Amino acid sequence: MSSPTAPNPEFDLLRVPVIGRFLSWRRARLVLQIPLFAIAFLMVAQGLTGSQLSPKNLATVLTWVHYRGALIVVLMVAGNFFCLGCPFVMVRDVARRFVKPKHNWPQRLQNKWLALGLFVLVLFCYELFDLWGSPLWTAVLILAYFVGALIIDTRFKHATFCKFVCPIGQFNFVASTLSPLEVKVRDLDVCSSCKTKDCIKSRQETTSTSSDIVFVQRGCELALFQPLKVGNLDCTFCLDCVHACPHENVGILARTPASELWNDQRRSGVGQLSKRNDFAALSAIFTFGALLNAFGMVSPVYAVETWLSRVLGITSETPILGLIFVLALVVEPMLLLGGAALATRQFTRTRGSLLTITTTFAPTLIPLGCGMWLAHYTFHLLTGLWTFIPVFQYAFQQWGMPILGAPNWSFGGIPVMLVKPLEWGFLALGVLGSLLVAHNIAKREHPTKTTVAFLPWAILSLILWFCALWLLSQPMEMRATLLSS
Amino acid sequence: MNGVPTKIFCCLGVGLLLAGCGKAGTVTTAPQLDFKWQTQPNPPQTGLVNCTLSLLDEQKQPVTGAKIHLEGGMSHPGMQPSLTDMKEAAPGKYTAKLDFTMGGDWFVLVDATLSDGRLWHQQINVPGVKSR
Repeated sequence: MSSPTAPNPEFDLLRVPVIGRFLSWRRARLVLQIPLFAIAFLMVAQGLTGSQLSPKNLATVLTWVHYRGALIVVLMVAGNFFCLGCPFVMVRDVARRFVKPKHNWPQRLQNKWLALGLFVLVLFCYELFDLWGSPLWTAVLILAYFVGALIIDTRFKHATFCKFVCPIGQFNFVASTLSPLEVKVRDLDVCSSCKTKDCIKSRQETTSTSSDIVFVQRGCELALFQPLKVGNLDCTFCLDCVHACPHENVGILARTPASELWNDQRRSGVGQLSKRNDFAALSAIFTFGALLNAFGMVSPVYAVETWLSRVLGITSETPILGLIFVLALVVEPMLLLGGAALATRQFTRTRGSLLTITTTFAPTLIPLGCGMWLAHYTFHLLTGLWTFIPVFQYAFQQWGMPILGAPNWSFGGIPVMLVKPLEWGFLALGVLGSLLVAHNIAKREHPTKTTVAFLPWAILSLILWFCALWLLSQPMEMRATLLSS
Repeated sequence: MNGVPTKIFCCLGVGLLLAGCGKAGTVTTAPQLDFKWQTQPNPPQTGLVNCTLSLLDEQKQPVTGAKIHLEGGMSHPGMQPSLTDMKEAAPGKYTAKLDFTMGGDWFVLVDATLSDGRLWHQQINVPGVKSR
């Protein structure tokens, strides 16, 4: 049996000098949350009171250019570190010092359906209210997250908001299945001899002056028991388990990105992926939502809207946008995934229901979805990389404190022609990842008929990839009102 | 130690609130000008667009000798603005080529310094710039 301090061939971020020492520190999360909270405060303040020109306001620039881009980049190159530094959780932690939650989240809501609905709602509001062009509504959205986390987590125990409600959290959970790092047990033998299970139960100690039991460190609030945890799903990288483990047996280890997507082992706090219809739906919405979100930014969307408006005789944007959302997020996935599942059943001559086959193969979509989100968001991040500088200068100038000097609006970013090849590269990696996942799931489910089981899902991945390539090749056209002529 | 995050949180909130209490700027009377904005092509397309701004003062006389700076920006954040200065092509008539780098909704901020030193600012919305 090896000890936690024995040399380990795996890369462990917690053993990297400086970074590892910092992350192992119990206050590390707070230190990351404070600056993010301060930035969120400035964003809300300027969103509510500052210039309503979107490129000149911290709320819109930092949310829709820098935060989104940095989020997906960090998820792809490291892990779910934005959930680690989440300022919403900091506020609810402070509130929980005064208000102790007493209730458990209702059993019927202990799934992803509510969060999935909210994720779609945010995407819909983003298009309908042109959130990217409205500092005020962007600030309201940020406040809504704070208020939502506060209300839910002061009423319900554990990390209810993160696990069952937060749309950003669900996005991060799905994307983090492709992260190269995972919070993981270093040595399972140590866990098998562990008597206290502090990583899930929390670490408790008896005070020296009385027999009172005090909580020294909470365990996992998302019900992920480390020895049985598989992958990054539902893991917020809060590192509570790292701090709670008395054996220093939890690390942030390197792993093969996406490998958890073809692992159907029963996982703590999640269950089996192949039996989670809600997770399958989340995977589909994550991927088709990536395509739809990009579609809203290119020229053809206006032609489609205008055509629908003329055919249906409707001039209001809400029903037309709603129809596009239903087509893109319900009808299209049902047809494509249902078709692939039907083909798999025919080719392999099996008797599983179409829903079961679809749920089993749904993780196939995730790498391509990640590729699309990454391509889209890094485009905005890189082409507008330095735009935060004049916006900060402008904000402080507006507040009567021109400590950063006069705003220099000539700051831009990396030229589009240099960013475009990166976008193609991300999509190529995405489709390769999807093909790999599809093949490994096909191999797991149909060892003797792997090729024919794989084929429909490979074709589906290629169809979606071509759609993504087509979208990225279209001229961008960002309008505030879709139905404007 | 349990109260440390709470104290930090409260101090940060109060500090940021206090930081927002800055000194107000000086208010000056802006000139009341009549203006006419034209683009060629109309509606504008992506690329260089000829912009013409005609200015008349309170007495309906052409405003001559003004220094005019244009800043074109998109409704979506993160796009580098197009910056240019206008030239006086005729008395009270100023022209410039502004680069609309992407299709979509644009706004143009006009910053003019009149010959008597007064400042005039105007936001002109340019919706629906067509992609080529």
